[in-house]
Amino acid sequence: MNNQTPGVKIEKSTDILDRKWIDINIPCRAACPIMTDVPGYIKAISEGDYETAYMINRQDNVLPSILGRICSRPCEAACRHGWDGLGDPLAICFLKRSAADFGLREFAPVIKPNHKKVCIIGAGPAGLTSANDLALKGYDVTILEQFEEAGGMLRFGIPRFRLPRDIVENDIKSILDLGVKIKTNTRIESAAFIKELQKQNDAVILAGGCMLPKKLDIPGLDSKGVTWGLDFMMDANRDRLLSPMQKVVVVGGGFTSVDCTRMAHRLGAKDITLTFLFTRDDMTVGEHELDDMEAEGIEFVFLVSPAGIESENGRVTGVKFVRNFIQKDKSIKTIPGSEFVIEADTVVFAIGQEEEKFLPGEKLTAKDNFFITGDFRTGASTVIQAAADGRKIARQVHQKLSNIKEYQDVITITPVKETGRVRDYDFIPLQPMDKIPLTERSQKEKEVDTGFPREKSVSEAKRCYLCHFNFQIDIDRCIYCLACIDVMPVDCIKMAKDIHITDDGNMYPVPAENWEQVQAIVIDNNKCIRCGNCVRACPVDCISISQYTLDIIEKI
Amino acid sequence: MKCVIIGAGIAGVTAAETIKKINQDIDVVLIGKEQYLPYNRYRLTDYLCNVIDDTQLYFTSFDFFKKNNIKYRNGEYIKSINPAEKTIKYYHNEVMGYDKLLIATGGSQHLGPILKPFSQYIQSYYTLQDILLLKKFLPDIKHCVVYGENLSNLDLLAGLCNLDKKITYIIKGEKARFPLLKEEFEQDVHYFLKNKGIQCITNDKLVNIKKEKKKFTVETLNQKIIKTDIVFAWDDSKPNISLLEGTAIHKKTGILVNQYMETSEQDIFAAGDCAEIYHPILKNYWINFGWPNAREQGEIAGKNIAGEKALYQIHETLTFHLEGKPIKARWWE
Amino acid sequence: MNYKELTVRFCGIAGDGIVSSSRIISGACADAGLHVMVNDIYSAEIRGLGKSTSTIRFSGSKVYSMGDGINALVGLAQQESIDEIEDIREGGSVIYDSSSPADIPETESLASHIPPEVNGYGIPLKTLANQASGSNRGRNIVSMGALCHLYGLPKTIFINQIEKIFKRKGDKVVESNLTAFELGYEYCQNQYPLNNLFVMDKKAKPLQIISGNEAVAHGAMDCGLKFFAGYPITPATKIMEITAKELPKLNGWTIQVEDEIAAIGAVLGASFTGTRAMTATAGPGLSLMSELINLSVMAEISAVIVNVQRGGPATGLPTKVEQGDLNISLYGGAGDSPRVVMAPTCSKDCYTSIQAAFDLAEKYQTPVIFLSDLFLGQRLETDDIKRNINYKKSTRIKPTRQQLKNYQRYALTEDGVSPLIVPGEDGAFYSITGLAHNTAGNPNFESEVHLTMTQKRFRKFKSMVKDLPPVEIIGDADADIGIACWGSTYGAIFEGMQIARHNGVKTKMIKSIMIYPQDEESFKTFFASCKKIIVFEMNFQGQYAALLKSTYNIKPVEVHIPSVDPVSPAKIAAKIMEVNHELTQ
Repeated sequence: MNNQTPGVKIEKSTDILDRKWIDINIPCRAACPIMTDVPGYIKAISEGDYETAYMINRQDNVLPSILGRICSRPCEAACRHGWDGLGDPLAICFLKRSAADFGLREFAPVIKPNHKKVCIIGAGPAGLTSANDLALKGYDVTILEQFEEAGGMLRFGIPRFRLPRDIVENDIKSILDLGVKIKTNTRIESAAFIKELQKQNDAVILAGGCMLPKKLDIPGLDSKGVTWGLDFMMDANRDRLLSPMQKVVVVGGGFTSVDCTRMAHRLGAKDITLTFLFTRDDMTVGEHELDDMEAEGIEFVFLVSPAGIESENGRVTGVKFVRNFIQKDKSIKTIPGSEFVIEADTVVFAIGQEEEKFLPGEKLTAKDNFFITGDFRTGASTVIQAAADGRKIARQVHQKLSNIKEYQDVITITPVKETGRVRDYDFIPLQPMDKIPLTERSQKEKEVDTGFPREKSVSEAKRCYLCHFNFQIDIDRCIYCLACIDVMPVDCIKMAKDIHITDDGNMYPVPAENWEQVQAIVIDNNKCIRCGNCVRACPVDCISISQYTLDIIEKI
Repeated sequence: MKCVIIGAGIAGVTAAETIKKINQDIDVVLIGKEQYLPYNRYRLTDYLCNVIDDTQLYFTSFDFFKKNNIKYRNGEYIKSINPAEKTIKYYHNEVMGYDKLLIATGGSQHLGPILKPFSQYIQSYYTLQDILLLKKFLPDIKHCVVYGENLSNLDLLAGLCNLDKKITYIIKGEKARFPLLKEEFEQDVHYFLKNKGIQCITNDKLVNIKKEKKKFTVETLNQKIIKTDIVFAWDDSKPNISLLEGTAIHKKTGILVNQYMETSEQDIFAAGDCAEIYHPILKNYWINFGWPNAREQGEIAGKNIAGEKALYQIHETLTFHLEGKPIKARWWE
Repeated sequence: MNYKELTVRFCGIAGDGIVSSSRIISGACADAGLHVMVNDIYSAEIRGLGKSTSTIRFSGSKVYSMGDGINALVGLAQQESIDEIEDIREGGSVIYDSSSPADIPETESLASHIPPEVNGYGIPLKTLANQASGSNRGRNIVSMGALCHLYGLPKTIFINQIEKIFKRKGDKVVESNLTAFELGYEYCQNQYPLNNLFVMDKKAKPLQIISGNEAVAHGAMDCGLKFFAGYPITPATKIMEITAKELPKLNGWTIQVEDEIAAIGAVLGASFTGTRAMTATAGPGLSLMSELINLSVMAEISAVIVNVQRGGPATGLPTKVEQGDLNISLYGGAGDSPRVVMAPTCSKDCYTSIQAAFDLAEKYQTPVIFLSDLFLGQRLETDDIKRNINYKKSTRIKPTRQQLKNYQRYALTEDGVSPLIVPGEDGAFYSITGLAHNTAGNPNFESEVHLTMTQKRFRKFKSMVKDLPPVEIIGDADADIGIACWGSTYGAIFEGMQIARHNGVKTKMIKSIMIYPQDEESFKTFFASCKKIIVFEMNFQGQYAALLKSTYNIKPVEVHIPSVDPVSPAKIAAKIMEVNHELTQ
């Protein structure tokens, strides 16, 4: 922090309560599977320092340009700015993209080789993250990839209009630049091959992903025009889909099904319908993507289960559905006699993926120096979850191959004078993402979101409440003059008769009903907007601000 | 027992009246979003065209609420429901408890993702307030752009024609697809539009609206540019169910109810344009549309709230008047 | 709907800016030539969370009272404002804060108490105020913007007034307040595009706005007040506040002393030396002053004592109005202790009659008790007061050269007024005492001398009658019902009479600023012309009625007006109708 007071001691804490403070008070960071330092990089953006913002992301989540576009954004759902009465959550994901758009630079840390070899099978998000982390520790990492290019789902599963290929390449190059080697078109065929790898390397990590479509059993699946979500996407991405389509029905409510509908729109289909067993609320896909779908004219049909494929001469003509109703326990049941047909010339089933059985009849388990990570281990998930799992397993590998006892969370508490935030920032509205006009949405290469320009990203970043700053009143020094309460912007400072500290370290002030009961004056960090009005108003300087950052260190 | 009814349309008012008829001892709170007394929404166009005056618009009076001892809270709306604690929360953060809750929030015109950014330039046409505002400045308006294929659009078109306004109507397909029974609308409506000299732009979409001084410039997907004085545009009508966010109450487009008008949550009922029910003949979920149905649903819900068991019989009795001719409307989605 | 008159009430707790908002609105209206009356009601706690309200009534024509009911309520504090709802007229409006940070239970929510025939306007006052100024202050200004739109009031008059009032606090404060006003206005414009319209005469000339206390202070200073001593007490403190600021500029003095006894003592001392001196207090202070007022009577030293009445007895109701101090003013002395008692009815009266009070006190060497009250003293009203600074330098009667030769301080004269010198004046000896004395001022306890001197002192009050401010008869001369009242209740009763007249009942009223002595002939004639007499006053005993009954031998209907709120003209009218009904039966 540039406004750090010289001579003030920076505290390093391993106290469980401080660790919990982060979980409770920095909701975005806690929600992120890989614990990205969100307030840290957003603060950098608000100061126009995109390079720092990029580096924080590059270190924390490895794939900033990619995640800045297609992340499932658990952080935004948790963002304090979106809490009741506080407006819209911050566009955290788009800001990450800005950091990469304007702050991208070479990531070249000093690496001390340790001459140990690790082989990673699969160059998807999990494998790449593991490779990155291990390469940074000095391991000699080789990735084996079954396809002709690295990236896995990033390259083949996600359409280019959401994630352009050069972006994928840039992020992958940044990892390969650390000295990671990659062998493409290499596929595991036998147990012996894995055994061999285990012998040649100090560790082997399998990050095979979930590349196999889940299938279901209804009549008529063999008709021409019926396809599986991932196959449809891979074919489309490799320009291998040749047959023209008019009426497309996509079955499923996940990311892939949404991508399939939007891809179908770009492939010239006129009537596109997405059908889902449950309702819109149950879809895991973000609202903004559903909006894009709606804008592109794609229709939804909810609460339906596919019951069969209608076909003529072996070519699909429609899908027979049956309506569902929701039971009390939230499970669904079909309504007898409610069958109906939606006409279609192309039917895509995108109802989930599962891991590929590389070795028929043999279940692969993690043992000795063989590790499994990513979707292959956890089941189909999101890119950020896969990356987080990649990091987790990389740590396990490193722990096993070096003499580390354990990893420890260390919280750095840095006293600062100012947060740089002012009250006016609360009134900046959510900055909308610019998109290409509808007329250009038929090009499947063209990215729909155009990204924030610099000014917009700075404005958006200013909205952040900077939850990593902790405001505390030193009760011993407080003279109860209420000067802070007079200047508080929201209902953030309370007169309390008692303070309850819960087991998980959160503080709840019990409000005093009258002056006699007042035992303390407390800042409610849940309401605090980090404007510093109170600090400036305090006559006895008893309000302190400290910045909480989390690091994970290796304990030897 | 305290019964809270959210929505002071015909469904809500009927339910309140029904409850009080059955049991005077039930406390009834009726919450209306608008500042006015409950009014006949379907007569708003008549009111705009000065066919009726404001006394004919309202179907209740302050005396009605006093006499029935119904607490009417107007101009307030509910932002969330907490079924676990049996409370509702007002926009101004007031928390109110209930024993039985009826959601009769109706529907409203909805802007899709394309139109949403231009909402400030779009004149809505749904509430009495819209109409009162229109009444003020319609005399200065010569040319209107209308977009959307809802019954309310048809209503609006009829109204604007009667007021001799020049109209450009943008239609998504080749012909306007109002949710009416096909065979009837094809002739009547098309004949109506043509006959009235409405300029129709077909196979197109409204994609951009700009404001310059007091005029609006409308751009379509096919790059047609139209200059106009006012823009009426909406994609569809949708039930107002934002207050259900964060609850486990089952919903699809509307709030899913059974034939007792009960939702998936205990003691919470829904009726009127916001309730969605499975229709065995249509083999589809179905949102009831229109005044008589809302009244009937309100009555059924009221009876069930007051402790009587009443079953809602699904039928089609929807009519819509076009130039005095009744047209059967089917569903609303 | 179109309005020609509006009553707006702000309700909140200390610190909500209730008073400043009413000052802005009233100032804005007065500048636009509207007649205004403002009444503040606040809690007795000196600091804390007590409720306070400020009501502003404005109209194109003269406003005499606070009227009945209100058109709009601005609830800056939710729970506190609930009680005010019953005052709202049908079709009125309530502005409440819809951005409360914490959950409010139904029972404590203002909105839940609004009846359907009153319009509730939920406006995010807190959020908008924050947006404008970065703090919760300024919610009142936001609500003012909303009001301005809701009733179609001209925006410019408010903007000018905000600029005027906040100018001394710097441009930044002006700017943030203007922003707050605009935000409130805009929010309402977007949310509630249909409004009422306040119809006003655009060409009206600006009016001045003044409170009773201000009028008293300025009236006194304009007629030569040079010395003020006092001890602060609600609701009279404002007078001292003004004299403290203004008197030094006029080479005068204001001193704050340790208590009311010292205050009257200092005033008598100053007056003794020939200076026009005054004190101001409320009931409890007047009680303390009793003894020295007696000295003033006995030693015949002029003094003006302003009593801004509040509810009593004892500490009583410090922030509520009551007309309960008439008896102590008239009779609160030991022995036969006559004093002049005056009661103004409006701010204009306050200005003119405080000057008359000085003239009487000085000329007749007597204490004058000037009975204002809390409502009159604190309410702001527009009045066309013509400033009169051409007062006679002194109305004291000086001795002739002949008289000076053998100066007798208490010389017997026909009108009872003994010529007066300034102590230390060359060639004469000024002897003064509180003991019974002879004409020379030497103590003397002979019964005959005492009788003569008592008669002399009462004689002054007979001869005073020619100098009294005139009595006014208001209303229909041919009416059968005659009304008598005193002090600040006049305005409401006058409006009550108009309502009654509107309903076909004619009345007339005798308006006299003088309580004692009175122009008895005018009163007698007036009472003789009435079939029924009603005496309205705001005390339980009927203190004024008792005075009238004993003086004029009449049997009036005595009406006790409850003392907590300003008087309701409608209730006055109802009483008049009731009396009329009995009369016609």
